[in-house]
Amino acid sequence: MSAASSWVRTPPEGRRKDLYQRIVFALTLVATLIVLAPIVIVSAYVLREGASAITWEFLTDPPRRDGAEGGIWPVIVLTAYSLLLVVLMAVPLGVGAAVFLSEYARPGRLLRLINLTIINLAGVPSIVYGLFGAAFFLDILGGQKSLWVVSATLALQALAIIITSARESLLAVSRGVREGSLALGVSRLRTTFFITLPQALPGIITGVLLAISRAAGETAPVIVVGAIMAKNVSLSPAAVINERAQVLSFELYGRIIEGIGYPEDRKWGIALVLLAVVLLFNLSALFLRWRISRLGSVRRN
Amino acid sequence: MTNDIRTEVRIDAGAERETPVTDTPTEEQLERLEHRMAGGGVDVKSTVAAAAAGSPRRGDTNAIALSLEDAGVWYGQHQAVQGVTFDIYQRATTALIGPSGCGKSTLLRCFNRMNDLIPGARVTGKITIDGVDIMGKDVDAVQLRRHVGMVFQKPNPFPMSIKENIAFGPKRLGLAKSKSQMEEVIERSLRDAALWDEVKDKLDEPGTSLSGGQQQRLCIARVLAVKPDIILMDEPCSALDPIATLKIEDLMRTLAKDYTIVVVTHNMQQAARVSDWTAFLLAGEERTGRLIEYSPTEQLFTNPRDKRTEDYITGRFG
Amino acid sequence: MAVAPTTDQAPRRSLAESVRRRRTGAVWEGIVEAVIYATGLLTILLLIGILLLLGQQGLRLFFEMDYPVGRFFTFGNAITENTSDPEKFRFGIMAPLIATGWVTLVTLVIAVPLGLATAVYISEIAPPRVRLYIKSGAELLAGVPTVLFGFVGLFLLVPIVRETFGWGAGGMSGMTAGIVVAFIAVPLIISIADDALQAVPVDFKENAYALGCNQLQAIWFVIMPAAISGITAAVMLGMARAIGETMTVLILGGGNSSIPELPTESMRTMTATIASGFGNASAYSLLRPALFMTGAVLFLITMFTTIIADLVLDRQRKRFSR
Repeated sequence: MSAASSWVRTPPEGRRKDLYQRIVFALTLVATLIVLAPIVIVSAYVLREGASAITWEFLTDPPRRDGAEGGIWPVIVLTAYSLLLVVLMAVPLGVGAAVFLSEYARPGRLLRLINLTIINLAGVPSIVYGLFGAAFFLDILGGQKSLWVVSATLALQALAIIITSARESLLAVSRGVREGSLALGVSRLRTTFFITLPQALPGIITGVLLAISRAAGETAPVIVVGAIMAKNVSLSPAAVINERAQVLSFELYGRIIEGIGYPEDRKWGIALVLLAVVLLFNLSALFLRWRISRLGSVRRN
Repeated sequence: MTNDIRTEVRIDAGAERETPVTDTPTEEQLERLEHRMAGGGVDVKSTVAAAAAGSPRRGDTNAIALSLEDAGVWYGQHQAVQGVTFDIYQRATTALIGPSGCGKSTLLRCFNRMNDLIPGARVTGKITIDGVDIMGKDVDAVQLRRHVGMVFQKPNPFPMSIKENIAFGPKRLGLAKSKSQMEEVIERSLRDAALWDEVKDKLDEPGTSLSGGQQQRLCIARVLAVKPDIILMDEPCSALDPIATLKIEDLMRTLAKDYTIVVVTHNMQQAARVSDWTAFLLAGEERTGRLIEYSPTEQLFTNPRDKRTEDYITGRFG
Repeated sequence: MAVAPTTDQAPRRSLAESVRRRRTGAVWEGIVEAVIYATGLLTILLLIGILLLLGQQGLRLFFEMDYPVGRFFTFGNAITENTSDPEKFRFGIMAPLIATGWVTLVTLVIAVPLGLATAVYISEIAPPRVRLYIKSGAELLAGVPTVLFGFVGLFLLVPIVRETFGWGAGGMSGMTAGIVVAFIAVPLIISIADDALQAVPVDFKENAYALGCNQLQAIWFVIMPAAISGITAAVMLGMARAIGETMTVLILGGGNSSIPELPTESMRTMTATIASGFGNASAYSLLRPALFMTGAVLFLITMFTTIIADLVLDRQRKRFSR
């Protein structure tokens, strides 16, 4: 750094310096493009290979001849059930924990411990959640291999995402309005329900959408807890308890590894449906977040 | 993955956009304002004299609203306020003044136990309201706050309509029984806060669409709607322009007829204009605030008993 | 006290009376608040539960089924055979552990430069608007199901690897898997490294410019060193992500259960071993507890990495919070 003054006086070196800078900056741009390329490659490839398989029949008919004909309707319905269950189980627990962390817990060892716990829960490999789900829901609770066990396992995994985003959104609500309500003699719980949570809602929903997207794409824990490939079963809500799990991600995986004789374009058709579901939730989350940050910046000005 | 899902949510309702709306003062207020701007009453003593000439009033010194006995506040290991003892009288305005960091806001926040919300804060001594030591274990701070309302430095309307802002307290506390009662409460509160005429045609518009001064009066109306006994005001005008400030000050004088008001202000002129009693706090080197002097406002500003008060009001420090 | 006649409201109590009364609904509020506290504590319970349950199920291998501890940790193969005879069971964690190590190494070699370069680009070079788009893009990348990465990799990358390099089992190898896992780990690295770079106070940068640095020198000599803790944490969390990734390594790793000596060999990581073996592990075989034990080791490794990363991050937070 001490040579700073001499750089000004020696233009050739300075120019070389700027050339280096230009090259390095160009390289960082190249790196960025490489990083983003897989989204395009994966989407384009899945779309190209799978689009031909997507027919009304494929989406809404039950499978025939072990899935080689007909459609994947049961898989789609049971996946929807499963995601709904994940929301029903993970959202109350996750938002409850976030409320505890942002509104009730006082700074100290316990808060630090719980925050570290959540960071760890978020970092636990999905397959480990699968092992825990199998051991807890099947062995300890004595459940049968079924859709609800798969959903409960996915819900546990979704917790960390929901807690983190809900906590951040709650903490972002200004202290002023909270105090305004408390100073009226409104209890902390009511202040949370009627003032803080409504304001944090868009952010919480963003987190929930991301969690759903993640749960829809998750395959490893489903393999461990146990699922089956497309099969024509009763699709009443009781299927949640009575039927083995059929979910899109597992359907895709199963068709890849055991799919000799299974039509190629149908495999990609499943991939396309899965990608569409995941992107739908993911993009709505991103869209909602953009709106929130725009709203926030307007209000700040 | 905790970190790729962090949301960039920043809803800060406290910092709403300032609309170009401004408060419209009355002729008489404008005149006073011009007088003030022109340098009239810059001398605190003349301000006091003018105010005293208007309505010499000291509240009812027999009726004590709030009494402090050796009150102190700790933030963790740091003592922010020490050994404060004095009585606040009913239906009078009491100002807490002093240089910044003297613990006046901290002390104010003891009166409705808002300090409970700050981790590590601890209050010592005795603070009595209506014969109850409010720091007592059997006292419910939530119920206490219903009786001791508070207006904050920065206007903090809820992110709802004007109407809902006022209705929020009564509704959540179950004070109004019917829709018509609620409408009565809304109108009465807004009238009492001198805001009714300005907002009666736009009750359904968001509270945040009002100007800063109107927002602050909305917050006062919100407090009035739950009918507190005491109203605490923590530098209520520090975020407002002179016209809005004037309106709030006028409002405070009116409200003092029915309510006990305790106001924290760093503005001595304001204390002189609106208060009947003034407490002067000062912190030493160790940043621990102590009560230096407590007297009728007139006396404190014209004839202070303590040298430090004299120094402060004549602008020698702070 | 100062009370106007209250005709329009519920009967008013004096402060002395009401502060000692129970509020209406206080019981319900108490119950709801207890539930809220419980959900907060549930997180700790869940993490401890995972550790205990995996440990308990895994340790049965040694204590109930008499499989030698030494053999589990040293045997150079991990055959997922469904047997209840400890003599015949040939399962050691060494091979999956080393396979995981290779894949993680390949991942980091690719993902760290890519991730840091991208983080520098979006944090220091790109205009704010572009930064927002790229960050969203990176999040979208993080959202793509890994099974899809595996599937597309199988059809696009594996043939290329097979024909150009001839690695592993028909193009499926640790290297192949690592290349794809890199793109799964990279969004996390970008996100945390970007945060770390953004957290560096502006005056650091300004000081550097004042000394005559150009932008590149400011980034290289001032900003990146100042953000080194966050960058380290980013790399570690990316590593944890790679260690835990299952689907791509299962599909692209090749599936050889013995110890891989080179990253270009066919291999099966810890996660892939669990995923491929658990489905047919019967309740009475040694395989099930062995896979739980593998899971427990996997869990401890990722937890350890995450905790260290968090401690490192904490250092950065403390440094700049003043």
